[in-house]
Amino acid sequence: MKETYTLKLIQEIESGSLPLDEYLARKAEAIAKLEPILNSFITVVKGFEKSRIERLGLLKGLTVAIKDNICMEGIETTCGSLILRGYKPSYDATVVERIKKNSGVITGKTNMDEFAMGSTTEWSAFGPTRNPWDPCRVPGGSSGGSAAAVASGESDLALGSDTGGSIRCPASFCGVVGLKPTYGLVSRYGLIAYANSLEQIGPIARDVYGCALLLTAIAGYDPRDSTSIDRSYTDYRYALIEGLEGFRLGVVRELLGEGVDQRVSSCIEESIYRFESLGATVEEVSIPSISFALPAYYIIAMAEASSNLARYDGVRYGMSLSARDYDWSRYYEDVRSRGFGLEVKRRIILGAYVLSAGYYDRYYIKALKVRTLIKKGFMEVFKRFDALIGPSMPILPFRIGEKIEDPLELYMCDIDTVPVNLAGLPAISIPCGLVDDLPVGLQIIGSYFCEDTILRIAYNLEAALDLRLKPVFSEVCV
Amino acid sequence: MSELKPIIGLEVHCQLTNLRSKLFCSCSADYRGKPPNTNICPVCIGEPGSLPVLNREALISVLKVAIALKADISRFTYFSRKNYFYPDLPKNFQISQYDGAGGIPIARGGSIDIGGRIVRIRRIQLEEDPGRIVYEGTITSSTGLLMDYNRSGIALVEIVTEPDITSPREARVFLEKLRSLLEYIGVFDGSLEGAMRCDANISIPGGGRVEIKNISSFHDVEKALSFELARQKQRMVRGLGVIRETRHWDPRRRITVSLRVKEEEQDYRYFPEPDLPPIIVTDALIEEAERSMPILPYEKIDLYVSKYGLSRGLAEILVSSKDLSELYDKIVECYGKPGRVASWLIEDLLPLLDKLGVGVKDSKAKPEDIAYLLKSIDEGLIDRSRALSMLRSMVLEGSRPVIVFEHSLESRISLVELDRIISEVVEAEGKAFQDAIRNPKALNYLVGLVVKRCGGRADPREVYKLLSKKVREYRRSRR
Amino acid sequence: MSIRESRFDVKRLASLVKLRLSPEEEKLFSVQLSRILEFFNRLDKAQVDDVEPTFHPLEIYNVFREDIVSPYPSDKLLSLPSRVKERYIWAPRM
Ligand SMILES: [Zn+2]
Repeated sequence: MKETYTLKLIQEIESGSLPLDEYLARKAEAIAKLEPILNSFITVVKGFEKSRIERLGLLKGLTVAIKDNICMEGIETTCGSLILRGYKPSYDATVVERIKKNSGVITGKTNMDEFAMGSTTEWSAFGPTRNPWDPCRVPGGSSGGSAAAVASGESDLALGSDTGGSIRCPASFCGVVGLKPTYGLVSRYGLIAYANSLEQIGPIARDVYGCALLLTAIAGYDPRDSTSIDRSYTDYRYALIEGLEGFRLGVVRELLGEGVDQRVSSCIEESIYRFESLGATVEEVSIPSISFALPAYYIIAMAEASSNLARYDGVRYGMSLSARDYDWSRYYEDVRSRGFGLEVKRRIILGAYVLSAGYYDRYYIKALKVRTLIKKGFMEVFKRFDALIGPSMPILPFRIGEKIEDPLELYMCDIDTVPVNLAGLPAISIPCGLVDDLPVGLQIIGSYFCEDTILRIAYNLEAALDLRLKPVFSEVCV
Repeated sequence: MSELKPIIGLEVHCQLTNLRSKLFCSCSADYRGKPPNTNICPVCIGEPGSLPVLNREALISVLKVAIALKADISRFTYFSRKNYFYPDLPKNFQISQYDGAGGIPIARGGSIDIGGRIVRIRRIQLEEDPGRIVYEGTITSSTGLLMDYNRSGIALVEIVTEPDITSPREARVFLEKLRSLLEYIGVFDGSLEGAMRCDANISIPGGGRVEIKNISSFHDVEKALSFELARQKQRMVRGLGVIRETRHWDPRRRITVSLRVKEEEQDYRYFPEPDLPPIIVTDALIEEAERSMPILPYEKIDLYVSKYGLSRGLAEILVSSKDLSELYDKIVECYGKPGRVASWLIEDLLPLLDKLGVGVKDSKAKPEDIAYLLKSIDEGLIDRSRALSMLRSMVLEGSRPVIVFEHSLESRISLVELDRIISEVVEAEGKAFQDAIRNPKALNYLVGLVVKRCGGRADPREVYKLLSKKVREYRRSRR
Repeated sequence: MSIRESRFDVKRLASLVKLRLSPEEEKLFSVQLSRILEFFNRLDKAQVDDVEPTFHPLEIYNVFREDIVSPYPSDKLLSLPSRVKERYIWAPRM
């Protein structure tokens, strides 16, 4: 097995050449040094570097940063929103429980677009996160804080959530590996909902090994999540052993359509040659229904969001207003109008619209029918291919502020990531090259519960490319 | 004014009080009398990130309701979110079901017979109960609301009728029938406060449909509807018309008050609950519900009529309460004579319980003791008034019936009269008397007859002595 | 502008989700949201007449829990609201 970053780190910790307390102290230093520039975290867990671990479990004491929409008992969890300011969950999300049990050290809660609605992390109420490759640029989103923390070495592993690309987009923009699992593989209990039927929590790491490791720790059935699937335990690290001879890969034409930056497509093409040289066959394939994926995705996501976000009314948790002479309806309006940012307001208003009487069939049901077509399209193609490939993002990381004025232009950037969420499929983004010192991500899409397949493909490409990425702003241990 | 007959439909919410836990979380379903907000968890308080998981027993219970109401069970169903803001709704949506775009209720159709008239059921569905609001200060001068979410998430079955009800009284009768049916199948206990709540809609010819919300007991249903009917009739008489609106029942002032909410402003934006997978109601699930069903009231009425020969009216009274019909069944089991037991229960026991203000369930009299008492009455061992006073202490204290005769000396029959009755019986029952001459054991039959004729005023031992004497005399005279 | 868009009433929708928009937001949104709706209208071209909608990404059914009580430490939840009075959670008046 090729010794990539995470594996080397684990070996040094296990052999004692990098004592755990020293490792954690260096992580705390990295955070102290980089946070003023990057703003990856909303909350850093006080004293995480003093954690003592009796018996090293699967995660060997590696640091894990958690996206701020995942509940952790007693640690402020804001979803990047003023409306949840001060909210300290009464319980641990299932994934947090599992990370603790597997001896991961949680460093903090990472920055994100408010309620995961965005692809730049500019929509955070706590300021944007900056891209460690170029602090003038966005890190992608909505899990931008998690990806930036991992890319910069502030944390070695991180959790993101992916509703329409929120793990793969920032992984691509920050030059790290991010995996969106099959719907139902990872428990959503404790993930603060944006669009329940689309999202999954997934791992972000510097390398494929790290991703496989963290996925192994968090995946698995949870009776508290009715949509979680009961499957036998898988150690995804074992997927990283074999080569790619005989693998059939499909390049999805619709993912490389208009709007894809030429420099991005060239990088993808180079990866295709690599795959062929590794013994895989690569063919172009078309899933025409994908051309409807974007509007369908936004309709479904906004509809679910408008209902999910109704509970934030300033009564039971989070923001509250002190003035006492209020009737409840005005109070709710005041809290919500002050607590939510522009993008959240846009989406919940539109979400209410697509569900309202007279428009339900026209928008919401139609979007769900398109979803059926897309799912069928993928299933048809997976009869002939082991995995599908395309870019994660059609463009390179852009400047902070560049697209924030035009919501529609930003939505268009999700063109390559949303089809997977509509279908519930797993997909991984891995760095496949640099253009003008900015990373490009390749997306590998697998069939249902074939995380092992896409990890194996990603691992082989990673080894073949051997990119050794190191952003300008980074502090790494090994 | 009799032409202005109202059209009434009901929307009844009953808690499934047989459940141990709430509908979507493991909090206790027994929330009554607990300090505020002690029976809550992240799910039922709507804490961010929490997820619902359906209580299987709630599904089985609602299937039992559907079977009992003879409704068509949907083989495919799911939960929907009903989106609206209100302080008692912790998520500002209610996980419910819907019959329209964005929903499929667990069952549709069915009916209840309310004494010859059929009230059709439109739909039956499962949903979660909201929390409870307590007003800080008084309602009008309230500075705020105090929220208690102990009740939030309790399983409710919603039963919606077609507008088949034609009077406030009928509405109450319907609810009583419904309550008794739900109690029969063991999913509901109507004696628990707030376990059954009801919204009603009522209109009269020419007027708009008015929905009355917040009727919290079924006694209030008749009052609220009567008030509203009078109000509407009066408006029609005065030529004012009745507008379509939603009104609130104020049980203290006993009036309905306009809520000033235009119905078209409500847009619940139902859509399928994404956190709960749909339900396929399999044969196995339905069979499971059927297996745990008792014999139903209307089936029981048929049984009493066909097997016991009771009149339908009598059968209906017995079946009107689950406890009463169970008591009846047990007494008949001990004593037989279903007709006699039925009429005695209705003529003697029920009025007594009523007078004492004791429910059938709370009576301490054991069925086997009641059977013994009734047998003693029938055999003339005790008279009716004495039996009633005995029954009273049986009901109140659970004492056993003691049939003794010594303490009824003053009412004892005179020897002369007793002699006369014995002579009459012997004369009338010549054959039995002949039997008794041959076989002393057959004498008991005559003893019974005599005692009965004396209306309990005779001591059977004395009768036996006298009759034996008669037999001996007869034998002697034949020698 | 088609009839559909002219009926897009930002104010009414905002009140449906309990938002009060500032005049600037209202102005901004009526332009932006109409454009987004135009974008949604791209679905008009999708041939979906005989297609069933997919509500849940995976076809799973009948997920239940047993009717078992397991109490939660409710005091943890009472530390979340800003105003609690004798264990009641305060909410604004009617
Ligand atoms: Zn609960």
